[in-house]
Amino acid sequence: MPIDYDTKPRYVPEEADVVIIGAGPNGLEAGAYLSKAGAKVVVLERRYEMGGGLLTEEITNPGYLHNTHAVYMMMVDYAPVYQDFKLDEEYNCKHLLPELQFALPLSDGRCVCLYTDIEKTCANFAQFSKKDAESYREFHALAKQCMDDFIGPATYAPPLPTLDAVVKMQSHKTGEIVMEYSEMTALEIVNKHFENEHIRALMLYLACHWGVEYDQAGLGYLVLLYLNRSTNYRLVVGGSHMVAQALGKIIHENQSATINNVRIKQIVMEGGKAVGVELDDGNIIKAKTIISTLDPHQTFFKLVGKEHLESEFTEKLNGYQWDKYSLCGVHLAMEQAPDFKAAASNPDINNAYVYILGLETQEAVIKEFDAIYKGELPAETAYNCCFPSVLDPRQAPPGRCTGLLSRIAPYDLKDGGADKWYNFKFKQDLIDQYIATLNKYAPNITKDNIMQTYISTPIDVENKLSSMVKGGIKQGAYAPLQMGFQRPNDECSTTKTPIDNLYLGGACTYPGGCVIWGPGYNVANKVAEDLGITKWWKEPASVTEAKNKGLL
Amino acid sequence: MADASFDVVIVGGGSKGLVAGMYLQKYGGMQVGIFEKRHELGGGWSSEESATPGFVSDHHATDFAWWYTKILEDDFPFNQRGYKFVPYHVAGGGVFIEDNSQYLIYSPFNDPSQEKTAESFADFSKRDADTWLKLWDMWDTVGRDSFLKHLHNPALPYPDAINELDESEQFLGHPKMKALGIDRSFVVRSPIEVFRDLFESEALIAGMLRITHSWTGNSSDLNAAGLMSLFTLLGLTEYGGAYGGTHTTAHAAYKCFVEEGGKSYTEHEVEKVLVKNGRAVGVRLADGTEIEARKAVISTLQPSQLVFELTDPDLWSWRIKRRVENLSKWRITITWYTWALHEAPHYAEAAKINPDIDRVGWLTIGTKDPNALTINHAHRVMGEFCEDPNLVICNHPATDPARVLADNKWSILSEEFVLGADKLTEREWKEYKVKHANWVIDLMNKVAPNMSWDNVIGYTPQTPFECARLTNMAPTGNWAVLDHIPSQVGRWRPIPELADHRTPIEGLYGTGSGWHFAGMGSASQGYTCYKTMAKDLDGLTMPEKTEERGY
Repeated sequence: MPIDYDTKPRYVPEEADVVIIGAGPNGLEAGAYLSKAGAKVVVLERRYEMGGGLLTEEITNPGYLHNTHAVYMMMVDYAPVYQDFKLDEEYNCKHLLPELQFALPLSDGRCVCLYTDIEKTCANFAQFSKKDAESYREFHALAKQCMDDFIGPATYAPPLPTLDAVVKMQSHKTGEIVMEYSEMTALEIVNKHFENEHIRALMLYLACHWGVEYDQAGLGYLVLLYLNRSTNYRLVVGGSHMVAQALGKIIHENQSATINNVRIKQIVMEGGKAVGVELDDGNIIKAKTIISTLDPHQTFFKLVGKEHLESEFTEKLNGYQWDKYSLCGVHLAMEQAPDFKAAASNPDINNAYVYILGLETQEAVIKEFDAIYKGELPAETAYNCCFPSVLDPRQAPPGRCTGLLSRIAPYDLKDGGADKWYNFKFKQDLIDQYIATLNKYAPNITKDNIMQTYISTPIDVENKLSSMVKGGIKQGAYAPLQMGFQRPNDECSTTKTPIDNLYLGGACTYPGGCVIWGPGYNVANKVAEDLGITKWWKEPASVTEAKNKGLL
Repeated sequence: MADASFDVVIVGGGSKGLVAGMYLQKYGGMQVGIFEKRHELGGGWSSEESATPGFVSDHHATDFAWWYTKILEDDFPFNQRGYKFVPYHVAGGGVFIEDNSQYLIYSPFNDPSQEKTAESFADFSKRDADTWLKLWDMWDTVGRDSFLKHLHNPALPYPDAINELDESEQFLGHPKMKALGIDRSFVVRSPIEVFRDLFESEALIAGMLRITHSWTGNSSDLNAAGLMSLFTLLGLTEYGGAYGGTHTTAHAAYKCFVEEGGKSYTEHEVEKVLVKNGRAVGVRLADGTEIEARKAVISTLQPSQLVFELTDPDLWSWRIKRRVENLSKWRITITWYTWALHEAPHYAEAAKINPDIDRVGWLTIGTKDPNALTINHAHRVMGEFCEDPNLVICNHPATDPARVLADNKWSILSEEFVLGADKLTEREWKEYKVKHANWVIDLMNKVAPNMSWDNVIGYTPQTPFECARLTNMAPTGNWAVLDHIPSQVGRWRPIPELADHRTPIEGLYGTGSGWHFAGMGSASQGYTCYKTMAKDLDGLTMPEKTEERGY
């Protein structure tokens, strides 16, 4: 019998109610909500695996699970997706909230510590400055008030036009506080509340490392957000990908589809409306609605085409700013967990969630950011790092340890450009430098007892996740003029776009990036409303409350 | 987790567990629960972006023939769930380091009559080219069909039926086999004997031995292993891979399973099969939870785990225990490096003869000495590394652009047979890994001058030590779970008493790569396990196409 096999193009469904481009957290979230509501959803993904930044990969040695992109889940207590789908009870998505959230060890053996327990944090801060300990207590209460009343709920509700928002904010005291802080730079906020240089170093780093520039006014509410969230970082038990698996499972259970390894040629336009997507193999999937979770340039320039855009809108897109820097991470398969020098006086330190190494003073933090903005990579290697298997032992073989050393880094290197990130020797030297810094603070860790390493450079981030243009992890900078109602611009921030039937739902869309589950939730709501789909979920209580207070 | 109950509990969510689960759920009407120790389903159907982010590498099964998953495509909406088989243009080939001469084995998807392959063979011997065409005719008209039946039908039951001839033995008497001079003595002939009986060019024979060795793992002079090598050679013409990486296969299987109502649990390790009055009634998880199995339990673990860990060894006879503990596992232990490259290796001199050498899916780089692998095995049996080159390069991006996300870049895998995991300490393996990477680059550089460290973006080293971390492959890190020596393939695999998936414990079935026919990423062992169960349990139906295709 001859070969009984036909290699025609891969089968994909011919039509769907909703096609979602990109199976990252937001795409999967929107897919889960809409498929459970009865819509026939098809989620298309370029990579071989869904999850976007929710990745857990065995990329060093077997048994070592590495979260190769997102690690820190900072909105678990707010995001409706967890409760609406009972992700913990029904889908095995457990999260840990480590008690010691951040540790900034000093060369002299001391260590600045940020705990989930305010009293413990204050006790630690008091070793450096009694005033800062008291100030922290006040600041913590202030940030929590802003988070609970406004910033948290606002994440899961559509943005209001700026003027409307201002009027509402001025009507409530929390709103006034948020407005006041928004006008300040991160540096001003940190220095207003704290005096000790080491505490200032920690606070400034935490306020800025996701992309808020330290001397940029207009984003102070993000400083309140990040400093409040700095005691709410959670780790997914079994690795970040567990959450992607759960959402994928929900989509399949609801008879909708996810398809990986898909290359999209274009969004099919008819009479100025988006009516489907065409794949590179010629397949076409017709759809009532298309949600793109990609960056705005890919969505509008590459997939829709400039010929379908108004020139004013094209201008807005041309002005869109990419992130100023990326991340360069080194993953470690370690023979043993690090034993920090600072743990000699405080054993908690060996169980911290995140460490900040090599940035002991505020001056050092500022110097680091300044260098990165100029495309330089300082010779003194500094980074944040975590060792997830210390907290969740299943992420490494018995007795072993996983590590992630993550440094902010320019995409375009002043010396060598972006292509230099491909250079094997350059990367090997970097790995050695990363390990040397760790060894300085935790002397038991040496090259000898690290069994395998894996480096992910800024160009790798972009190659792997194509919406992370220039390696930026948020699909575009957090600049004051492209946040809130302006993210990615005033015509798209509600997730609806100038193109009929086309919606945005990725990190470039209000409220932004970092696995906060905002864009995916908001676009699911908007699409459900526009398609007349009955929502099976309820508005989050905190959103209703903020509306009652007049803040939303 | 809370106590739960299923009709069938499957221990292990690898390729065999998923396939058995799919059939039980859809055609058996059973409620199935799959329990997997790792964080991810798929077992050997795995891919990772390990060399560098954006470069997809298969960490275990990589080369697929179209018939690995054909039954799933017939019986499920498998290729409507993202699966697509992509054949190579040139399935096999090799460059000889002595003089950069080369041989090419074209894919029948590209060269249906095999004239191109014959043309390449004719560079070595006109007679060998003719022989290839005759062999191909035999394979294409009757051999493949016979092989697929053999692959997809369970081994004959032990002890009674085992005295009959199975499909593969019956096929030996076929007129087309006789016309090729293949007589019953071929049953006991070694690979080198079989190829020398058929071909005359020693270089071609060396290439054939090396390329088939990737699947068989047998020494060239191992008696009775020759026919398997011959059929491997013919079968490998039809190889390629799963579009976008092998793990895509796991996704498609998982979706079919879930859509039929199957339940799966990752990070749930099974500790014991619960046996009551000689019958399997469920499993106990590592956290103490007991899961009831109303009809059956399937183990997909390797035979020694099944007999000595998952169950009470007292439940098994002395002979079964002896045979299982003495199974051979040291031969199929390899390095499996994945490389992210700026550009594809260019075999500059060889490409002058035929540029298709740069597009070969499975490429050997070695000597013209047909005894090279005999020497390799001799070294390894003595506990030494063999320095002779027996390298194989796998080149998926030649036909599957989805393997590399970075624009204009390339990736390859390199394979070499080395010592088992248990022969070196972890520290020694760590040192060896770096040494081996340099060895690969040095060797490749001799035939592909652009392959230097300047062409490397990143690599990930896998050795038998890493493979052995998957307990199914322990302790040696054997990629096929068990060696493919003649006494451990087909109806003898893993041992005659277990080969048809039944065990002495009622309601307990075993399957996996350690079962009939051989270790591979095909769907066959999940399917044959279902077929055996369908004979034992009421209400299990067979898919419509069973009769038409003969299996």
